[in-house]
Amino acid sequence: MAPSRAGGDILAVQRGDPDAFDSLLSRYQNRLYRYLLRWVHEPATADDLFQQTWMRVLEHIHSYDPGRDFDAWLFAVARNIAIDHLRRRRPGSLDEPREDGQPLSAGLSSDAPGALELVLRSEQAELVQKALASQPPLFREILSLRFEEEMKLEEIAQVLGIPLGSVKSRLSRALEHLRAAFLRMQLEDGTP
Amino acid sequence: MSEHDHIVRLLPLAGTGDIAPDEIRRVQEHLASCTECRRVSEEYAFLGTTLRGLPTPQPSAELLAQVRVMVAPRLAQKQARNGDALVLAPLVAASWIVALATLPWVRAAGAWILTGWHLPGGSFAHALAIYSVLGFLLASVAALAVGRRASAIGRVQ
Repeated sequence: MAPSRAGGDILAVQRGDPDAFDSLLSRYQNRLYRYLLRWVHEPATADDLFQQTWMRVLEHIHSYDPGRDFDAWLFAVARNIAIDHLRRRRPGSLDEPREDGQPLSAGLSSDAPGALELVLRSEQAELVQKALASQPPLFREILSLRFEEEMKLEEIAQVLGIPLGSVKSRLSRALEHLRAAFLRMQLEDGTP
Repeated sequence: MSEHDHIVRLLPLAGTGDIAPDEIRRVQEHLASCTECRRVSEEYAFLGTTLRGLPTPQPSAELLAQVRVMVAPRLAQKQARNGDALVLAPLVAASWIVALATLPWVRAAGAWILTGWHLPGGSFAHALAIYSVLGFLLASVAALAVGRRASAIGRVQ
């Protein structure tokens, strides 16, 4: 767990130790940047939010309880900043797609060639990345936390501040949407 | 809802192991006999694997340098606050120790002033006066220390 690994650094940062801050920054820089980039897409905006996140971390680190999971706390700080940014820029842009009761892959032939293995791996990864980018921010976020950050559902619930059941249903819907988008893009791409 | 429909709903989370063990068993049993669900399950597994393997974008060196520059004043502020606490805590402790340890002498001095100089008031009043002066001196030292810290923060910012 993160508290045991970063605990000493966090206490030192609470006292204002620049070396400890450097260590914390190095430990989380890539993961945090990737997470923010999944929210906003544009690197310039992600840069800005990355700076804001670390400033906010320093503002509030005195209130961080070392017994808690620091990863969840840090990502929750970043999340609030990303959401504030998106709300200011595009009100309503966080909404999840509506459920119409239909399976998302409806319209795609169920016996369509499932020959995913025929497509080159790099092309597939590119399509998955495109499909991920086409998802609403809340879906991109939960997919990133689950698969890229490899967080457990309980940790995700802490970051998102929602019950475990809601995390499960959101992740499930995000995967359904991602799969539908991926299959659609495969068809548009002409890949079998 | 048919068994097939139920399993279809479970498939997205089955691949990540985020459903109950008995549900996973149920899914596995169904997959053994349902080609369509097996294909969908493989697609979810593929998506999961690919998502895990996506390249990790990295912040630029310039960005990291900017962050370090931005946070430096705040870190200095925290250090200064921490230093204040380190300075003030012994001062407060010392003031209490001095006050309690010197109580008999201060009372004696008060009595001597009262009787020797024929001043009005009890020895307690004089002890109180001397303590006030002592307290004022200690508070001045503490204030000086805090002032020096504050000006150090000002210089950093």
